[in-house]
Amino acid sequence: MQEATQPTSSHASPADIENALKFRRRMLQWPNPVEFVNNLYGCHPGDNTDDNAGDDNTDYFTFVYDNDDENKPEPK
Amino acid sequence: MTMKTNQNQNDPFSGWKRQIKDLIKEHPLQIISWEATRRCNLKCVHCGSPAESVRLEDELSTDEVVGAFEQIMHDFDMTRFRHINITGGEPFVRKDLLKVLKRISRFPAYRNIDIQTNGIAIAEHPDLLAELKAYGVTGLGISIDGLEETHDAFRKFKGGYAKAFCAAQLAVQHGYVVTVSVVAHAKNIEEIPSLFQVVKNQIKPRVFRLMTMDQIGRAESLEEYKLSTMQFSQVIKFLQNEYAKSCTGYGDPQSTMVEIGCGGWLGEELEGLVRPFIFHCIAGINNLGILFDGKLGACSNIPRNFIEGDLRKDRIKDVWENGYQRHRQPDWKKVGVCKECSEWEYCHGGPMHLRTSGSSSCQDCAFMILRNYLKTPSDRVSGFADIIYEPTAH
Repeated sequence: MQEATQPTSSHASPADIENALKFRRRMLQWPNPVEFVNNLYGCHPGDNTDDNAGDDNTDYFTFVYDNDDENKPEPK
Repeated sequence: MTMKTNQNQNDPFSGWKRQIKDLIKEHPLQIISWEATRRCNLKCVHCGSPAESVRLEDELSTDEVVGAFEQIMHDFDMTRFRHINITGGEPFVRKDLLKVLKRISRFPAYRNIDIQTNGIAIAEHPDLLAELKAYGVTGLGISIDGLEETHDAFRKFKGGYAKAFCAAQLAVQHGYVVTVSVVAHAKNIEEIPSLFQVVKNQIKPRVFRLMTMDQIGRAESLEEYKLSTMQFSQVIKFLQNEYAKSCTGYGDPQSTMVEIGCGGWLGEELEGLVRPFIFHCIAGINNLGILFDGKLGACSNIPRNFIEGDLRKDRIKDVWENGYQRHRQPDWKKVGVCKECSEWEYCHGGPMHLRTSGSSSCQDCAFMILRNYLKTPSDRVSGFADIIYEPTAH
């Protein structure tokens, strides 16, 4: 059976908080305000996404969290 | 939707608020929440959709379910459709679940399905995972409501924790997008930081979702489980800290994200800082609910007095286009705490499941609870670090 581990006591740093605020600014740039839930599950691996929701992928997460440039790429 | 939203420097939410209004006006069908059954193999203390409050014999047949999904494919513009969310009861109690999935997943739009489960069926029949994947299931939401003793007591089932844990681990190993959902209440709140570490390190789900216990279903009278204002604040502080510490890695699908479930609007200062999105209730806006008996609602957690139609009598498209006005024209909700609320234009009265009747005000508004813990407006963002969670001694 799994053993409980003690919670880490570390607090977010000022840099972490700055990042969180930066990511929120990007969330607010995304065209569909409820995109999170839409993008979370993605498509079935190997399925042809062209047949259904064309931009049904994980672009939201890429845009919000992996984008080092505030101005691009633009979301679909 | 091809252009990035222009942000107003004075109001960074201005574009977002406009988009919400546009979405409400367009109400494209993007998500179907299908309450597969109200039957369950457990009898959890807090269940929001209990079997005893409905006529189980009214459950839709296999052909009725498949027929409803076929009708939607035929009648709706599915170009923006995204996924099906299957809830219960316990969906795997339906003996025909795989048969239904096999029949509907021949439509490409329906090959993006997630199922909310207690994990028992998957733990006992791991071979289900391969079959579900073949039928378009991409996500599994598995409930774990505390460490072993707490979970099993809450679920009234010894061994339930081990099975849920096993099911979640297997689902991750099989490549599913796994959400571990935890109902936070007064009797498990002290365990949540420890539970998070166990889940994050040993299950590695995509999402660790905390939900506060809403006063619905069997939980309606469970006052002893209700979070106090301070405890609710503690949950938010925990999420805020964990989110800030780890969100730089959220672009990696292998990372575990934290979020708070549909608990409502948290306030402009907190939204987007405790979960990887800005919240707005989507029930009846782009989310259609098909209840176990064919009644058409917007989400299985919303009280049944918000039913908009019945697929046994009505064409679903007609109900979707002409009904749901209580969801899309929210001014009737401007009563009680919402009447003079400064953040009305963000949340429009909050999640519909917190409305117990057509005229009552929002229950347990998260923003109202939390704003007592925020400082003056000028301190709010700079005060972000001041409300970081401090773990309690164990």
